[in-house]
This record gives sequence, structure tokens and C-alpha cells, in this order.
Amino acid sequence: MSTLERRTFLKTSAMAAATAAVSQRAGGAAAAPASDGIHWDKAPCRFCGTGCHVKVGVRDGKVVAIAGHPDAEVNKGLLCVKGYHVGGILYGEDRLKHPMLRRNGVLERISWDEAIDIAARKIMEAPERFAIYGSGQWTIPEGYAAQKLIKGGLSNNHIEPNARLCMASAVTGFISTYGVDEPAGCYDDLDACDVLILWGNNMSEMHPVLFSRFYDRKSRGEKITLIDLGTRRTRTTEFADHYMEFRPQSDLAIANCIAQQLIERDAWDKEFVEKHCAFRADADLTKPDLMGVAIDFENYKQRVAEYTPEKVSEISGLPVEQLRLLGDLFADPKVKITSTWCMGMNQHTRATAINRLVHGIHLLSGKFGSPGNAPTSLTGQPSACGTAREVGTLCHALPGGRLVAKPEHREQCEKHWNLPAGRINATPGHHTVLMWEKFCTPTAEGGDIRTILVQVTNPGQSLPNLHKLFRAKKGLDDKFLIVSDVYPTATTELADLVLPAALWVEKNGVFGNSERRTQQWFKQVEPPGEAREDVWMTIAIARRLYDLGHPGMKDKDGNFIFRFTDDAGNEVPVWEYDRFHEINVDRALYDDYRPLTFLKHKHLAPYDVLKEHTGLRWPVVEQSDGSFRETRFRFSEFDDPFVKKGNGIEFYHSTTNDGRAQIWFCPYEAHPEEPDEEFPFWLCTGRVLEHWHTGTMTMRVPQLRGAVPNNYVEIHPDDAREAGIGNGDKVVLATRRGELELSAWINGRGRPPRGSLFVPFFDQIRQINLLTLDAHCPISKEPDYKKCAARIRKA
Amino acid sequence: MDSHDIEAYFRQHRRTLAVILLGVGIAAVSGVFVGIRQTAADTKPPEMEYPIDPPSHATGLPPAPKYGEIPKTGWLANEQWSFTLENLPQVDNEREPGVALTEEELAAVLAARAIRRAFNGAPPTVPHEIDQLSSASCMACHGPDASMVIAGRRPSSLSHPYYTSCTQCHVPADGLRRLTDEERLVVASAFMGLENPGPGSRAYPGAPPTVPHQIFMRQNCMSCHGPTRPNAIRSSHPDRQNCLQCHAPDAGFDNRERIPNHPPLAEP
Amino acid sequence: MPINGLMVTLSSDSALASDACERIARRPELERGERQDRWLPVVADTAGDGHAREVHGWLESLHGVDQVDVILVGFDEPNS
Repeated sequence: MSTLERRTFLKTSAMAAATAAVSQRAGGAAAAPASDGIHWDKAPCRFCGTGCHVKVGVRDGKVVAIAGHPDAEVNKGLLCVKGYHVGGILYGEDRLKHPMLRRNGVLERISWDEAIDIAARKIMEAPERFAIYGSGQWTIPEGYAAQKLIKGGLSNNHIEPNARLCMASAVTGFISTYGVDEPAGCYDDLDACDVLILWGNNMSEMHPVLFSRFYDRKSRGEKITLIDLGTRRTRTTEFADHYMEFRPQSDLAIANCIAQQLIERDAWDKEFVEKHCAFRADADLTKPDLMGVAIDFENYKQRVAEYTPEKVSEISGLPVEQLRLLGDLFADPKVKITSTWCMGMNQHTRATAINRLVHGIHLLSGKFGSPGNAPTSLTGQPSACGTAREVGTLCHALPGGRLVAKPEHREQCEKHWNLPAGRINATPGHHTVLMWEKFCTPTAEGGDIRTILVQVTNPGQSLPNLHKLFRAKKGLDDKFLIVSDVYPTATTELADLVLPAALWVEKNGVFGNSERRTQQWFKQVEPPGEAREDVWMTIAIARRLYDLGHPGMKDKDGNFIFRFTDDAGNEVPVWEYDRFHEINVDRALYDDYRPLTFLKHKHLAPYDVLKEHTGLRWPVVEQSDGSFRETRFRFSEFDDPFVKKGNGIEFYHSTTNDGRAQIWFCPYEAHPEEPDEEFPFWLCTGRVLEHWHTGTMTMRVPQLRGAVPNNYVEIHPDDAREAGIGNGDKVVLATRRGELELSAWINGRGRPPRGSLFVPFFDQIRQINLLTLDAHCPISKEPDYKKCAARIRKA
Repeated sequence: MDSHDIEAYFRQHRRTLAVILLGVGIAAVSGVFVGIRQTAADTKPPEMEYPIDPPSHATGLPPAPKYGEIPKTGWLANEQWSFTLENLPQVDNEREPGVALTEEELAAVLAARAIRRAFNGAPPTVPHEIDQLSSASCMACHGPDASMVIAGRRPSSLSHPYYTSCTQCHVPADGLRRLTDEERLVVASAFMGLENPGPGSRAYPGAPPTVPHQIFMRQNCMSCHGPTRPNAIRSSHPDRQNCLQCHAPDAGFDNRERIPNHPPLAEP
Repeated sequence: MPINGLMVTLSSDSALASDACERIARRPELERGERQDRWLPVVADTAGDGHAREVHGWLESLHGVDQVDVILVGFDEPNS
């Protein structure tokens, strides 16, 4: 050993000894790290329809940390900034903690007993004039209970989810094309496609995890192409290989142009179409309906023939080369194309039409039914698919893809719910826009909705044309608004009765995401104050109606319609809140609902299977060995167990009962409120990455609020210059329905072209929906928040 | 120049570069302020011109694995990073190596760290303005060899594989400074996030401490513990690359508690 | 040329304690270990006994130091 080494050794020894002494003196080894006492459990994220799974870290009864769930197939341990901060949504200081009743214009605290009694009595006064307005944030059991209460109990079909404002058009698109709702493909397509076409879909902000799942393939050297078909430049555009900026509404013409090119070049997939497809069009364009009439190929060919790239270039503003590029891609049998869309196509006065057309070009080109080839609609809410669509909490629907208008469907539900025949009303209720219009119209003038129960949504900010559809309620004394929510919102401002609700992991729940994936979680923390589960509220109101003698609250045998029993078979009075947690009511409702999903082959997994996974994609089918298997690609023999062997592809819910999907022709039609001299701008509204919907949750998370503290209007620099507007200047934005003062953002995050403006809708103080249009798709009844005419001036 | 020469060149001229970048930074910042004041009457707003091809994201970082492959990649901490001392970022720090921070300095460092995170493990917010449209500019300063000092601050280097869309997780803490309205919704939050864990535990004095945080998304140990990192958590032995050989991850932080997560039911 | 392992008990006044730590850091013959609470391990690599005593005395004289304990005393091999 050299001297140097010797000295080093001695020094090390001396240090070790001194350190040991210090440690002993300081109280032994360093304190144990703060991981102690954290309990981790799983839950799907509370926000969008992507359906990422998170791990929730709870310590001392509070959520203290969130991590992406590494085993979740959707997100593999990653999240977006909203997801990482989802724990914070529970802890805004202004959580609603007690029921409140408006007396002399002021909300005053009352007891839960009083609150439930008042709600029930208001319903009892006129059960046929009562409506329930929920959302795609309802858990599946919550939506199912509300559905059963109103349709099975009150013989009333006035139930709607805010999903009517969100994906109703995707539903009509799927149904009129395939005969059954929900996408055939799944997120696995994003891992396999060569080309991703975003139809008016700012995916990098709105579905960031899915966007990265696709786009990060590029940094690994994969040859993938991103096409951004949009009406303004966004963050997504920055990543796109091709940005195709079209004139609002002309997406209809663009889709038709792709069909025209496929036929003109004789490049359509003849085998696929001949085997699996038929052609269809609206019988009468002035009165379009869901099913239309059959047409033959020649007729279809003739109708699309006029949509040449040259003509469509004029309509859409897209260069002919870009239209030809789209034609080239769809015409190439080797290229795998996935199309995704969200509100751009769904919030559209011809929304059903554009949905059908995008399905149509995928079918016509055979880009369907294999990994990487799919037209897939993305949803914006965590359970828009699970609760709104699958449970059918819509005015015309019943659970499991059934319709109130179909006698056999009503009969099936009556039988399942043990109700007397004829209990379920055969007439569809009011769709969302009509419901709120009727609520805001004086009773004497035909306003036939008197009381609305709102759960898990904020219509006071999210409805279009708010002056007409929400604020007009003010002063109508016989109208009664019951709102269950977690924070004071634009809706509680006009509420007569406010019910404090439990949020996310403060209750059990089941959600269904955009790719048919059902996800379950358990309650992990206590709700604050007296806040309670929405599903309890629904059952408690039903029980109060039962006590008040409403005959609909009893089934055929005279039992309460929400009868739950414990393992010993004894009824548990779950409407008494101190007994509500004796059994898992969520599970009981889910078990009751599950058999209803079999009709349309949407087999949900049993609760016990679900709770062991981070979500499963239906149909989840029992195997011969008793295990369960999920389905990734629907209608495709290689994966879907319901396709007959040898058929390859089979649309087994075909509207024509012959296993065929429909390729629709729908023409380009102008928007009902195009810009004119008085209102020369297009106004588009939407979201930003950091905020979710009306911002009631995300605005209470400091990190998210800090990133985007308020809304603004995006404007093109040339338009700004002409109007004398500088960056950050206050401007007055006006439409035919009202005006709003906002700050202008030039060359900001989104960059609209000349003649276009964009405003996010999360801001509760400056509500852009006071200005938006309530014109809607005639088939889906979904309003167009993306287009209306506006003008702007410096304030 | 091959890539090695370039690296050497950059090392040599780091200080000059920092000054240039600082200058660019100042120019950009003053540009921002000019932009605020700018009205149509003053100057013509800039034309919107965009490159036809998206900017290149080549950074020399290992690309993120496919989502489906993340569980199988077996990515260990520091697996693909610098393997030789020579390639490690050079010490470029005012403070002498090995000199620990004072308690106050450490407290200040930890407080600054905490203020940018909702909870320990949350993606940090960005303490400066960002290019709202594109993530490409982030890598100019936050690349794997982030050791320049800009305006007295050292940008943190990426702690995880290169994911393209930075703003998916990292948002500016004060994002719309210029567009923030006085009248806006501000609600206090009672959220108490998981705090900084402090040092890892040691089995006995002198034993290597455990890793007091999760490893996922922090695979680049040198991002925080490398030679150019200025604070108390700098490694005294950056030349030893296989960090997890001696420093065991803490299952509590890695939240590997048993949570039901069975394999998928459909074979891919 | 003795090498000593010392345990320095710092003052409960954190400002004084920090000051002492910094002063210790500036002495080339002293090497600091990881401070835990009020206790700091220090190794003194000194030229001889006199120097070692001087260092010990200096440490004790610091305002931020309450006490100095000798934990280990090492001597270099005689013939090197």
C-alpha cells in the first residue's frame, strides 16, 4: 500500500467513524423518507375521454400525490398536466359542503332531509314537467340510477346528458353507418397507422397523451405522417407534416372530394365495398333523418362526381395539390390511415353528415377493420361513452343501445326492471337545447319544463346562446332549478336548491372512455362537509317520492324500484345516508345494468373482473375456461368473437340487416350564419390544454390556473392591425346574441387565419357562450359552437 | 468537425456561448416587451411565416419508447447516458466541488424547487415565459448537456427520455402575464401535496442511501445529481454510472404497492 | 502526521452553526462529512501533533461550535 493510499484509507476510516458517532448522536440513521404512510390506489383520470389511469396517493385521508399508472394500456405511466394535477381538484377552498335553498334571493343552509324533501315535492307537483340534466361525467351507476328513476319510475323521458353538446353527432354518425354506436377501432390504431388525419382536432392540446402516443413514434425514426385539417394553426400544426387550412364548414366538401378521387381513379376497394357495404343518402335534404334511403353505386358516383379537387379547392380554400395528396393517400392500398375527430366535426350544423362522410371514405377505400385503419371519434368527457351513450341517458334512448320508440326495447327494460307493462313512455323527451329553451320559457307560453335536476355539469356556462337558454330563467318564479355540484358555478348562480356532491375518488365509480374501455375505481377519501354521492341523492329523492305516494316508485310487486339487499338477502335502506355504505351500491347498480349491454353485443366485464384491471374494452366475452377476454377491433373476425368465422368483416348490427355498413352521400351545405358585412368574422370556441371544459375544477388548481388564468380572443395580426388592435389590448367581441370584453392575443398559442377568431370557453367571468349560436344538427340536435358570425373592435 | 470535435468546441467556448445566449435572451425578452406595447399604428405586425417542414427534434437524447413497450424496455437509471468521464458535462460552477450548501442555501434551493411542483413527483411548472406554439425551443436550453448559465440560472437538463410535446406536462407558472385580467376567478386551494422526501434512508452510517423518489421519468440521474448541478444533491462520484447498483429504489416512492393491474385480456 | 476523526457539536443557533461550517470548509486541512442536525463529522489531516492541537483549539474557539470530540486518532506509518 502506498503512502497516499494509506492516508486516503485512514481519512476514510476517520470520516466513517466520525460520521457514525454523529449519526448516533443525531438519533440514529437518517429519518425514514416521507413515503411512509402513503397508500396508493388506482382510478381513471377525472378529466377527458382519453381515459388515462392514474395512481392516487393518499395520506391521512387526503390525496397528496398522483402518478401515471405504468400498467395502464392507455397511458403507460404518462399523463398530461391536468392529469398530474387531478388531485388538486378536490381541494378548492370554496367546496360546497352543505345543502342550500334560495330564500329571498339568497342561498341559505338547510339540512339534507329538507333538501331531499323539497326536491321530491317539486317533482311530485308535476312529474311530467320534471327533467334531469346530467353529463358524460356521470359514472355509469349514477347515470343508470337517474335513467331508471325518470324513465322507469316517472314515465318521463326528459333526461339528457351534456354529451348532447359534445358527441351526439358521433353517435348518429356511427348508428347511421354501422347500425350501432361506438368506434370499431381503438387507441392501438395510433401505434400502427402510417398516416393520422386530424379532422378539426387540436389533439396535442385536447388529447395530449394520445397525441404523444402517436407522435413520439417519429422521434424513434418511424415514418409516420401527421395531417392537420384545421381552421386555425394550433400547437398540433407545429408537429404536422401537412397543415391543410380549410374554410369553416367546407370539411363536407373535402370528404366528398376524397370519395370523388377514389372513384375517378378507380382506386376504391371494390372487394371490401361489394362484400361489406351499401350506399345511402338523405331522402329529403330539407328534412334529413337518421336512416335515409338506399341508393345504388351509380347514383352515389353521380352525386360525388361534382366534388372535383378544382371545385372543392374553391369551396374550401385548400390548394388542389393538398386535396390530391389526400386522394393519393386514401387511394394507396398500402397506407394505413387512422382518422380522429372530436368537437370540430361534432359541433357542426351538418355534424351527422360529416361524421357519415368520414366513415364513408374509410369504408370506400377499405381503410377499416385492421390495426392502423380506422375512423375513430374521440370524446371529451371521462364517461361520455360509458354513461351517456352506453347507458343511454338521452331523451330517446334506453340502456344498452335501446330506443324508447321501439316497443320491444321498452318491453325488455320493463321486464328487466320488473315494472308493469307500459310504464316506459314511448315518446322521446326534449333534447338538451329544447329542454333548456322550454325551461326558460314562461309556463303560460308553452314552457313545459318546470323543474330540472342538474348533476355533474355546468349548463349555466356550457350551453350555447346562454341569454336564451339559461339566463332567461331569472324571474320565472314557477321554475325550479336543482343543482348538485362540487363548487359554486355559473349554474348554481341561478339554482334554487344546491346539493353538495362528492367528487371523483370521494366516491366509487365506473367510467367508459373513447375506445370502449370500462374503468372502475373505489372511494379513497371522504367528501368534505356534508357532501354526498350523486347516486345517493337520486335514490333518496326516489325514496321520498315513494313515501309521498308516487306510484311509479314501485315495481310490479310493490317493491321500491331501488331495492338493494345485503348478502343475507335483507333489504338495506340505502336512502338513509348512514346506511348507504353498508353495501356497494355502485356494484349493485352495475350488476343490474350489465345484462342490458348484451343486446347490442356491448358486453361489459363483471365488476370483479373490472376491479382487477385498469379498464377493459368491450365486448368483454367469457371464454370456455371461464376467463374473460376484451375486444380491440370490432367487426373484424381476427379479434371480434361475434363475427362469424370466414366472414372477415361483419357489421352484425347493420341497419339493413345484411351485415353491411352504409356509405353515405351528404352534400356540402353552407352554414346558417356565415360572416357578412355586419359580422365579418368567423368565431370559433373551444378548449386549452390546461383547462377542462368550464374550468370549475381546473381553475381551482394553482398550477393550471397560473398557466392560463383567463380567456382571450385570438386574432390574425392583419385583422388586428386593420382594427387598430395591439397585443393585449382590450377588445369588444360581438355576435347577434351579445357582446363581451376580452384581451386580444396576436400570434399567440393558436393562430387563426384572416377573418377568424378563437375564444376558449373555460372562463367563468367572461362567458363566451353568451355569444354562441344555438343552431344545431337536425339529426343529432348538437349545437355548433365552432362557427358563428362575429365582429370585433378595440374597447 | 465530427460530433466529438463539436462537443469539445462547445466546451471550450461555453462561457462565450452563454454570453451570446444571454444576449439573445435579452433581445428576445425586450422583443416581448416591445411586442406588448406595439400597436398597429406603431409597427407592422410580423408576417406569419412558418417553415414547411416541422423543426427537427434531433437532440442526441434517447427517444421515448413506444407506449406499448414502456413496461418491457427495462430502462434502468442512467442506462444510456454518458459512459465515460470525458463525456460528462464539465464542472462549470462558481462553487468549489464538494463544498456543501449552508442550511439556509439548502432551504432556499428546496423552497424554490417546491414552489414549482404541486407535490413531490409532479411535473415542475416552467418559471419563465415559453414559446406558446412550439416545444422545439425548449431543447435549446434543456438538452442533456444543459450546463450553461443564463442570467444567473442554470437550466435543468431533461431528466427523462425525449418526449416531443414538452407542454403536455410542463406549463408556465405564470403563463399569460400580458393577458391576465384583473377580474378573474381566483380560488385558494387547500391541496397539500406530498412534500420533499429529504435524504434517502441508510442501513447504517456510511451505507449508500436509498433513492428517495420514483425512478420513472427520472432515468437520467445526472440531470439532478450530475457534476454541473449546483446543490446539495450532486453526486460525489459521477464516474460510477450504474447508480442503482448501490442506491436501491424505495418501493414506497415508486408506488409499487400492489395495485390490481392484471395483464391485458386480449393478446396483442 | 496524525489523522483525526472529530465530531463537532454545533451551536443551536443555526446562523452561528452555518458560519462555523463555512469557516471549517475554508481550512484546507479539515474535511467535512455529512452534517446531521447539530453534529458535523470532520477529519483533520494535520502536519504534526502541534498542528493537530492548534486545529482542535481553533475549532473549539469558533462561536458556532459548542464542543469537539475526538472519535479516532490515526498515525502515519513511521518510515514513510
